[in-house]
Amino acid sequence: MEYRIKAYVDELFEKAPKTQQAYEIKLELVQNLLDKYHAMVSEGISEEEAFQLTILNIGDMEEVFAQLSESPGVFTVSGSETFLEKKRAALTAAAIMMYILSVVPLIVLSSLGVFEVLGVILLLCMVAGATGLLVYSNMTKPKTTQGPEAVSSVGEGKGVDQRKKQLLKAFRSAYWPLVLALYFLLSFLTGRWGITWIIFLIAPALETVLRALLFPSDK
Amino acid sequence: MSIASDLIRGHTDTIILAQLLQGDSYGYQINRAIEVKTNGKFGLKEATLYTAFRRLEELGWIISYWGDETTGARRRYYSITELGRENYYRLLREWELSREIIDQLVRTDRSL
Repeated sequence: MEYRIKAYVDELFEKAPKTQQAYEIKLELVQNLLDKYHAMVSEGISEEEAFQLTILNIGDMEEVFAQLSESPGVFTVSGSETFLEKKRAALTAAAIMMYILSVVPLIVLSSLGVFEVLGVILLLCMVAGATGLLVYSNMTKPKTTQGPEAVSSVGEGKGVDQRKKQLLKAFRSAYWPLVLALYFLLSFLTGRWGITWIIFLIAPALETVLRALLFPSDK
Repeated sequence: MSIASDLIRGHTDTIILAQLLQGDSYGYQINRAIEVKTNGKFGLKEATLYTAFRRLEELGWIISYWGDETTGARRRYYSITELGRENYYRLLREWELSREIIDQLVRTDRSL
């Protein structure tokens, strides 16, 4: 009979918005109805009758769903959203810190005059790590900023678009830090600070070319 | 009962807040307490109950948390906030005033 109650609620929630909130209300309702059902059965009411009485007074769930779509993501969802935002902010901050600090081993080691190659390797590792963090934080971003309503309304074609946008964003955020890293790397390795700044002239042109090649349909 | 329940429905928030004033509770327990209190004359429909919970939560009058029962049945508990407490007393005063006025207006010498 418990299964019947769950199945009944499943049916009720077919029209519910597909959000975390709606899911939690569903869990809550199932538990509530089970409590009610068990209480009646323990009072001596037959299982069938108890089931009928349990589902009799649920009322109009449309009311609840309407309220949910009015204010999408206000409670638990918004809580996890701000958590995700904080996480992204922390990731970005960590990445930028790594970019800045990545030259430290190289400077220290080269001023000591030992293990200069190790300095370069450390620099590369830190830049790679930082870029990874930035890409990750950007790839996880757009999904949560849409709000729960959009999740169900996004068509397949739009989904592809969204994916492209995500990639473009990731590319944008990774490109300039990499240029900067390359600038420092070349400068420290060659010591020709007088010339290496040209990278900053080449980089914008290269960015345009890369974007045209990688994201052709992007207007 | 159906006519009366329309009138009572306007006070769902106050009724729920009054229950939570006595301590944290969950959906079934709240409704059960209401039924017991009224000798089975009144009970809230689940849909009404959950709409009210969400509304009160949005207003910041109550907060909810998932309990962790060892028996496996996880229930969402509700707890009244300080703001909820203040508003409960305000609603209670409003109700008492309304009741007084309605009492004065609907009674006539003839019906006494």
